[in-house]
Amino acid sequence: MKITVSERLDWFEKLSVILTGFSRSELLGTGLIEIYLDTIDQHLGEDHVNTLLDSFRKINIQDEEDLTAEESRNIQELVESKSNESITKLVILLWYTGQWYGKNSYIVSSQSYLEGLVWKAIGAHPMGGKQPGYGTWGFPPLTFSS
Amino acid sequence: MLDTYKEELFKNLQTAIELEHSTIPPYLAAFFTIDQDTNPFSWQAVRSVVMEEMLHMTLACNILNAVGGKPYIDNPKFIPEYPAKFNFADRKFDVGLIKFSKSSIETFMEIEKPSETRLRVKGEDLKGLLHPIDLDESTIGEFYETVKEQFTMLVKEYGEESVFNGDQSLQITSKDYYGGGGEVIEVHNLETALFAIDIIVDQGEGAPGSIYDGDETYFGQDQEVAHYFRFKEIHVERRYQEGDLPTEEPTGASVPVNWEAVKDMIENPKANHFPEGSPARIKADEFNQLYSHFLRLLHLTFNGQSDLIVKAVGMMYQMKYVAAELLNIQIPDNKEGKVAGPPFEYIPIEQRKVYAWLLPELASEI
Repeated sequence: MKITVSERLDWFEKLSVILTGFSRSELLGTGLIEIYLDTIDQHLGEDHVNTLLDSFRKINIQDEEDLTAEESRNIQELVESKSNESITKLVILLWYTGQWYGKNSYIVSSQSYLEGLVWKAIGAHPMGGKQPGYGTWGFPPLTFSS
Repeated sequence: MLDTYKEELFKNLQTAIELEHSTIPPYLAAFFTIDQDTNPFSWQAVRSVVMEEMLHMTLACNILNAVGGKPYIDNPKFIPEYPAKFNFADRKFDVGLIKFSKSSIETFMEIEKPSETRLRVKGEDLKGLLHPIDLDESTIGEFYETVKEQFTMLVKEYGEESVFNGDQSLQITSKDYYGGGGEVIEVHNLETALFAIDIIVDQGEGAPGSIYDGDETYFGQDQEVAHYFRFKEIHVERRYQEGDLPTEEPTGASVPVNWEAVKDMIENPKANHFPEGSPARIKADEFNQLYSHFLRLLHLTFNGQSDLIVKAVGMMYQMKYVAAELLNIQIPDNKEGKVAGPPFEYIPIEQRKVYAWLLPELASEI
């Protein structure tokens, strides 16, 4: 089947929200969605990626930031299926570390290092980049208190 | 009588704080849209100006505290709504939150333009002189010149000790303030007050008759052209060099600017212009939350809790990162493909979210 560029991006974005647990606003804010999709295409081939995106599309998620129980089960099945398991792991690693893990692992770009979700997840900052201000390491991470 | 006069002086110094602050959001919004790798000169120049504006705001707070006044920073009137009207006696223009462009740089030059008449101070005696200055009826240069004159006359009439009777522990010192443009001056007498005002004026428009800002004399730094001339260098894509006159074009090295390599930010972004629940809206709201908390922290910093500046600075860095995220987010259904940007809007205290590291400060206030 023919998938347009914007459809691919849209599905990749939604799938990424589910795989990373980060909201669309956080993922879009990195400015890396297109670059990451390119990176995956480059290493695994567009066809392979399209197969994953198409299986994802078929689950027909209504709101990727708030899955129903049935959607969650379907996603779990998709992620754990033999054909998709390794690629979904790579996508998660890519988002969290900004690094492509393969035979030759590498950091995708300086931006991807800075925007690795791992920093936000642990309430820290990338060393040597995005300085948080002198002495702020003495305070709890800058997150909303519930 | 001194108290009455001082009330007038307080109002003028509060105006100074607000005036200095009002330039920061427009400069920052443009700065965030510049690609550092493509336009390193412009990036560095705008950044250095905005950092000096932060110094000016701090200096104005130090001056107000030195005479026993109280800086008010966390209130809705403190932030202009952009585009803001800048009305001075010699020129009126709008200042908005606009991406880096020839036209935004022209507006910035307008803000920093050297006064042609620096010494037109109104009033010949204390009574005639000491009144709140209406910015509509004076230039920025005249405004500060008048404030200097007010200080001089008050001290002459009442003595230094009674004029500078503020709590010295309220001064922000270079221990608290780091990495900004120039140095913080602790204000405790006429000399230091006038010196602080000179720094504000000279960094902006240049020492009288000069393209340079005086920092080489004040702080032993390398020679640096004043804000107006730094913007002019970007605008004409050429540096000034030794011997150039303020009235003439720069004749130094060429510094090409790539005006296309700029984030295409929507003009004057506002959170509620973005659809509820959209990524642009979520990040714009987050930015406004940070900015409003930041103003609160600054308010407390300048009113006796100077150690809070560490948290204020941390908040400021966070604003920078969220602004960068906004500039990566396309505005839904925008035909020109514009991206969002930092709105710099005030959120009333009761609508603010609580950040974990602000808890002790908020608890002491509410």
